[in-house]
Amino acid sequence: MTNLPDTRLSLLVRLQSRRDEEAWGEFLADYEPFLLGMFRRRGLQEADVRDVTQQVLVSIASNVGRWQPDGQAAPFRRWITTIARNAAIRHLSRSAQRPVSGLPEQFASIGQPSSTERAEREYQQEILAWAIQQVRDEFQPTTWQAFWETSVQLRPIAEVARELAISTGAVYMARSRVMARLREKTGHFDPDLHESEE
Amino acid sequence: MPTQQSPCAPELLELCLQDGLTAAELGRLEAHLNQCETCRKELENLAAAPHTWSLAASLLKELPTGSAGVGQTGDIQSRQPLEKSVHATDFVVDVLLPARTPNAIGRLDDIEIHEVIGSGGNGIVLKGWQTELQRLVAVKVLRPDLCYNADARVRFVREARAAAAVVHPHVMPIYSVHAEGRCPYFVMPLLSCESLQDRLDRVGCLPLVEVLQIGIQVSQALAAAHSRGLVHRDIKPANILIEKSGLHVVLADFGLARAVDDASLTQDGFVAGTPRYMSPEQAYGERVDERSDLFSLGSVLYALWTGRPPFSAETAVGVLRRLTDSQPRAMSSLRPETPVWWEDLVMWLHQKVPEDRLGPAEHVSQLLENCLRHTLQPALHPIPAELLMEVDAIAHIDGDDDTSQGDHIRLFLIWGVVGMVISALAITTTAGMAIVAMSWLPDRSAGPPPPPVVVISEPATEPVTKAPAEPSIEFPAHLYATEPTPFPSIQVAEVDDQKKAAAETKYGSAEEAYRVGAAFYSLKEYVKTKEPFEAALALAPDDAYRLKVYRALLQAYTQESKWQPKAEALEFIIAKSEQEAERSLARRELMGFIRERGKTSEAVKRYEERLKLDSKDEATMYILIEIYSRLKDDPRRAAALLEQWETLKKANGQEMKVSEAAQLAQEYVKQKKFQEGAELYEKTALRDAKLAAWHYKDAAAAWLKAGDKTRAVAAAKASAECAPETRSELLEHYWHRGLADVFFDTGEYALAIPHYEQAIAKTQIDGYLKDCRARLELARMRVTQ
Repeated sequence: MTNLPDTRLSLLVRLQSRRDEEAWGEFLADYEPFLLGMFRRRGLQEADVRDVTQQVLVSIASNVGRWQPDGQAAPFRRWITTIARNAAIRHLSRSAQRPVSGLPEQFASIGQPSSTERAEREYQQEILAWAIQQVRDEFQPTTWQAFWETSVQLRPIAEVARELAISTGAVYMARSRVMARLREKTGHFDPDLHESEE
Repeated sequence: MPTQQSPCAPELLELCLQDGLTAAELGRLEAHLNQCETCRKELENLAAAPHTWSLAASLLKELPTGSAGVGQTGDIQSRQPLEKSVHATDFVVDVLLPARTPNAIGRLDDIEIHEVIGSGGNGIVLKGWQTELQRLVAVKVLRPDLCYNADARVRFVREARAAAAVVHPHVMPIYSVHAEGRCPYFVMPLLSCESLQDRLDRVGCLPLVEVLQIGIQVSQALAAAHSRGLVHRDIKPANILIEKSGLHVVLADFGLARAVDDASLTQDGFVAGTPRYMSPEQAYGERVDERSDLFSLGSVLYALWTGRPPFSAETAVGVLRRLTDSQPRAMSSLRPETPVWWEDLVMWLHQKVPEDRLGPAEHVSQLLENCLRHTLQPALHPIPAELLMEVDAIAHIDGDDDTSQGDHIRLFLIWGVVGMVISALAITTTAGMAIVAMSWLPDRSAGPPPPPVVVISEPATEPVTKAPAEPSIEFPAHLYATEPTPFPSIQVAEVDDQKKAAAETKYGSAEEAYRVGAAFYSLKEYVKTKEPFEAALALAPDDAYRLKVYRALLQAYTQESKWQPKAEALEFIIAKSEQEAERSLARRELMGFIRERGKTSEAVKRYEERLKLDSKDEATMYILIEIYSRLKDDPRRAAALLEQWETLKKANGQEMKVSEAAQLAQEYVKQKKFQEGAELYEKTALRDAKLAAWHYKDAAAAWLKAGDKTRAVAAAKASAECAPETRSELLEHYWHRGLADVFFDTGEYALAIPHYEQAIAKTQIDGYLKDCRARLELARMRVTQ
């Protein structure tokens, strides 16, 4: 992708504020490995993984050039997040349209959500999986288990507390702390997971 | 089972989510959540909205098997407890020789060890009795498991020796270093101290003055160490010892951090101990220099002030990630009384990029000292200027050109330069003119300095900026006595009744306070005049007295970082002075001051609001007119205000002053309402015989711009028939030249010639002469043709 450096250059010219520049740099540093991992997990060949990742980044970069400040807090960061999400989902749904397992697309999709919806869901899952990898080691095993058992396995708080030999209060704190951190992490990539309806 | 439920603690919930709770708070919240359903719900809502919880659950549940392991608590390498404890008993058995006295637990060479007083990630501190010298000492021993690591030993000893070379009142002295034996150790005095960490655990957080005092000492210690090329690398509250009673601190544990992290990082890929106070570059494992210590100092200051470390998490990895990725919570959110400058200072130390960080240590210490002065005596010591500047502002100031200084001689004048006599100073205007002579008598007596004496030889009219076509003379704008202080200011509470009471108890009368102030004034200690003069103000019997005090206060206020006090003083003079010349000078001074401080928009807001409260406030209206006319260059608003002014006068059965009318005419011209301007100039000329020649000249120029040559010539002729001011040759030159130009431009060359001749006769300025001669030549040619 020879045009990426050029795009990046004009992009940096467009991003007049140093803060935006940094935000973009940080975003790339995070997002590129995320995309690589995501496409790899989806069984793409290594060459394709690089190719698709590059395509997504380029399409994000070309959109970033169109960015206009809207006066909201941290608008640039949120803006890239949205663009990135759309670009990634587009690629995910496109790759989903190719018959993967030899089964024609129309059979596979009967009774299923549309490929875009599915791609959205997959994208969110990928993000969560990535976020978990990122933050997992920031918590003690007990804290993590308290979160997992009560929030994902949906087991009763009291039962888990007994099992882990901690108080229910500690379980409440643990699960919320992990959740808040996950939300903070995923918010970088997915506005839906980040912005709760308050 | 307790039946009594503890009170809800909403402020802890959000902190809990950010790992910001102290151990005590954690315990309290945990106990509360055991019972309180409301707070449980609230906590969950703060973490994520209900739909996000269920979305996350459903997404995580069906994660593909490749990532299923994330839910289990199996084999994650980097999971390690934050603190690594060394058991004293193990240590005693491993390292110490058998004790010789009953109250000792063991022996290290000639030191009887009494007890273990502390252990960190890197070593153990023992309390002992040095039998040879008969004194109590503290002994620091390298952690036993590191004693077998040759590198760790060498570094421990080398760094201990380097630290021993730093002799400084705020650096822990080292008596001796023992490199041989099973475990290297060094000996220090045993001080009656606790660590800052102990202090924090005991009292929660400290008052700002104490934090600053501690910060000053630590930064001085760092400066001493850094000057010897020694980087501490482990600045944290646990390594700073503070007198049990008092605020004297010493920095301890120099270099141990280096010995430890070099050894253990290579061995287990992990930093033992707490990384909470590390710098990001340390966390990244990059090269670390002096600036790293300053980041850590920032974290210590943060912790002392808020009671909690800026970056915290359950595991070391979590802390490191926070250090490198995120900004700490604003201190003001933890202590609302946090001053902005204090927040800024700590944030400056917390810059992730070392190049952007505040430093070096010596400078930090100086800055903290100035902050301490400010905190103790805000009235006497302004906030250090560098804390008031944004990075952008610094760049802006650097880039500012300074042409005004080069082009004009800076005269020191107006309210205050004692002993300077200024004999005569001409103020010219296009609308009219006046000569104001001012003089200050030299202060030779021991008594109070004389207030400025203003001698008026002519009624002053408004100084008005030149019209574009006029030759440029600009000296009035540069006569201000103010020293430029280009820094933004901070709002401070207004004077109140308590002040008066306080003044009364200190000074018997206004006169007494004034005398004290005047004494400082004669020493040119203007800052020190502020307090007594303000007391005099509070006790002043009447406005005339206040006027005198305000005049005297101008010097002190000029040096103040806030702009409002001086503005208030000048406003008072503008409103109350009975001398037109002084009012006029005060207005000019106010304009220059506002401009110099860059407060134009703030000033507009201030006076517009005041005018809204009282639309008949003449002084305010006048100030606003000046601002719009001279600072904002907004002739529409200036004219509108002048018209309002006129209406106000008319309602009182008065007429606008001729100078005001002339200014309004000028504002019309600036707006290109040439006809209105010209007509008003002519009307004014009829009322003002003394300056009629000038008004007609200005009318003529306006008519010319309006395109009405006939009326332009008529006005110019009318002007020529009046006798112009003959006080200043330069003014005469302007007048003749202005008239000549009008005649020339309307084709009345014959009439132009004598005025050009006169104009040439009245000036020696080369540029002016050249212009006039060239035009005279042309005019003569046209006449002969």
